[in-house]
Amino acid sequence: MATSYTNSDALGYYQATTPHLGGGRSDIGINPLEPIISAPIGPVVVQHVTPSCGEGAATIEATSTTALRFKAPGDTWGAAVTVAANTSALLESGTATKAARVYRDSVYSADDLGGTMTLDLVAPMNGAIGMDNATQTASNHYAVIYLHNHSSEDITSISITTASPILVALEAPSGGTVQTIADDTTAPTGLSWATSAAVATLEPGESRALWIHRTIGAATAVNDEATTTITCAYTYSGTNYSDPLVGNYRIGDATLARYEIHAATGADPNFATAAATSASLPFTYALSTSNTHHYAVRRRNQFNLESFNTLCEVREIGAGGADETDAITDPTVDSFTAQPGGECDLVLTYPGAEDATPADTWRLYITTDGTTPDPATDTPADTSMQIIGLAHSSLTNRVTIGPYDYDTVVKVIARAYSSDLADESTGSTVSTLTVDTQDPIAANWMGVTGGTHKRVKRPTLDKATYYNDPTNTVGLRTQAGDTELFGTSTALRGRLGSGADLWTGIDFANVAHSASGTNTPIEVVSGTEFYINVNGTRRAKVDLSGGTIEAATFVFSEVAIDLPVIGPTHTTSTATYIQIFHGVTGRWTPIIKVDSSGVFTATRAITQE
Amino acid sequence: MSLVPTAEKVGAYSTRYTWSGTAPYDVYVNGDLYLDQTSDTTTVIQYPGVSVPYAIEVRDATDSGLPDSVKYSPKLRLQWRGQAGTDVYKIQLYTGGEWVTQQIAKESGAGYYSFLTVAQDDATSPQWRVVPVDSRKYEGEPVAFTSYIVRNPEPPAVSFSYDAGTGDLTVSAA
Repeated sequence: MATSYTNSDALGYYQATTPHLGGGRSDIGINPLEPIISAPIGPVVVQHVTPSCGEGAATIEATSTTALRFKAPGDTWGAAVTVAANTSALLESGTATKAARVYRDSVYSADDLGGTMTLDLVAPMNGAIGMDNATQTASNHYAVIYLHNHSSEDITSISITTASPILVALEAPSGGTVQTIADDTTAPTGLSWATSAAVATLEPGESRALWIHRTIGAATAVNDEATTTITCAYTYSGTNYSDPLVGNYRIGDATLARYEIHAATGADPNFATAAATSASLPFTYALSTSNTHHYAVRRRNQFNLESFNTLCEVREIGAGGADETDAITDPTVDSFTAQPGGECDLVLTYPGAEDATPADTWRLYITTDGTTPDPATDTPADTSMQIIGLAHSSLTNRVTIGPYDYDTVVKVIARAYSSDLADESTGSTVSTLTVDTQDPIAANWMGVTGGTHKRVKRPTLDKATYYNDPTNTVGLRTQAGDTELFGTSTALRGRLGSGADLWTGIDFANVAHSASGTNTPIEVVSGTEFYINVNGTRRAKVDLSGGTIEAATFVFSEVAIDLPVIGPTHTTSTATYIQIFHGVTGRWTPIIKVDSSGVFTATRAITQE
Repeated sequence: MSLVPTAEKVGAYSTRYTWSGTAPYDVYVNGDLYLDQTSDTTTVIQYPGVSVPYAIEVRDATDSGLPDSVKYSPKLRLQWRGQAGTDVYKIQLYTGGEWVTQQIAKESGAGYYSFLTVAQDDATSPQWRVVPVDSRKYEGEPVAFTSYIVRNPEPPAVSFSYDAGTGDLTVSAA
């Protein structure tokens, strides 16, 4: 059975007392392979993994309460080794030249050995072997490590080999130290650089400084993971060993570190080639006239990695170079007719649903004295646009004005108004109508009290369904085009009509829920904490105190879910739906779906504010 | 080669991404695997409180090799050996001129501990340390960590302005 500091562990690699720059040999070992440990065994300290193991997943397993065995990446199990308390041991893999030195720290943990720990062995980036990153400018970098015989026998036939652009040289310590260079670009003196070096015999306790010289040429390609490999072969007790000392570094190109604007007209750019670049901000990019420009800015770093963003800004430039991005399209007056009772109906179409910021209001400038309406001075009459159905490219509504006396000349300029922009379209087309009906208003439209001219209010829903009777603080409040999920404050609100959306004032958080719950669509814990349940399992949580809506995944689907089921909620074995009533079509459609996988689907654009 | 999703802002802190390719898809957000082997071709990413929407990396069935989000992970994994006599470990980030505790880990006898940091900025060398603290609140010698971060850079925080007179779009720092 091998012991620590013998066989493949006989030759040690150590830092210099001035790390990488020189001086004496420090007691800090260099691990050419760094172990990333998962499922550790409490008392076991991994002191060293021999470089010959190579990168990959190694395993240490307790075969009894006092013994361990080791398996290097791609190898078979080695023999189990008893590891006494507060001692180290060399665990050899099935291939004996591959090994790990471990220490059983019974001061830290007196537990028995047990379990299996995994070591993901990786070559370090920017360590003693790889050195710091470099740029494409011609450069020379130097570093030193120590080779040290920490066994009790001679190590012979030490052969160090590497390849360009790496050179090596050996320096024998004098008085325990070697020269110290000022920095890693200062060349050590008195050395013979070559791609190989040798030491005939290294006696027990003896060391050699191994200098490493890395040359980067001016035209060296950018490389985000360049590798230095130095092979150190030696003979110990009649057996040959070979340690590949591997370190990684990067080669950058400073000119690549820049901002890149990706642009196209009429559609998003494909992000294959930048339209323009700049090393710094601000910079300018010319936009051509009579085009709709889509553009986004990315960053690229010196290692040729670029941002992933694809969200583009859209800007519409008119023929004269003006920015027409937020222009609101004028509505058309499809018909303008007199109605019984002196009212007048305008059928208006707004074709600008794809305006960057669509209008949400009909704005009418009206005169009845024969003059032409003047939007600059007249007070408009506003009526909210009523969206019928979902996702149309244009919108048509009937708007009623009046009543007016018989023979009144009514003149109207119709515009579209956006409350988001606080701006309106600019049309000045005048529609004119002379009121020529003498029919009375239909009886069913008459007021019911006092004979006043008042429309009968259409029946609407305006009711709440509570889920914590009798406290009645959590529920769904529904009316035409509006469904609100609330507790002590509003959690969510689905809205149809202009600016249809799913509104919330709190945040979304990706937290999966799977606890058993009630067989109700909403399960109330308190006025600030309730769940959306699916088939008796909690799948989404509303936390009004914490300000979050939690579900495993959030998905936005613009496509309405066709579910002809009446009522504010609908439950199936795989999903729970919260629905909204459409005042025009008379149908209930889901505004939210939560399924049995915890996927929270919103059928309208989400507004958070 | 990752797919290039179409992005559309759908809320103050929400972006909808849509893509096409060969299912299934893996979707990474800021270094984390967000959707694993999904057949969905759209998703909405929330980024409350962040000035610039998170960028996402979408990989389809034809992609091979490690995704950039993994190969150039924006996160650091801190690993340290447990110390006898320790009650808790304070995991601290040096920020704003002081060490700020980000997490506290209880000493449990596990032997080795690790902590995955939040995504770090490209081209920075954040300094982290782990401070052992005993049951009397005495602090031991910290273990220090630092590493130069190389990742796909975050989307830059920029603003745009247009001059109708010159026809130039100016890209400025937001």
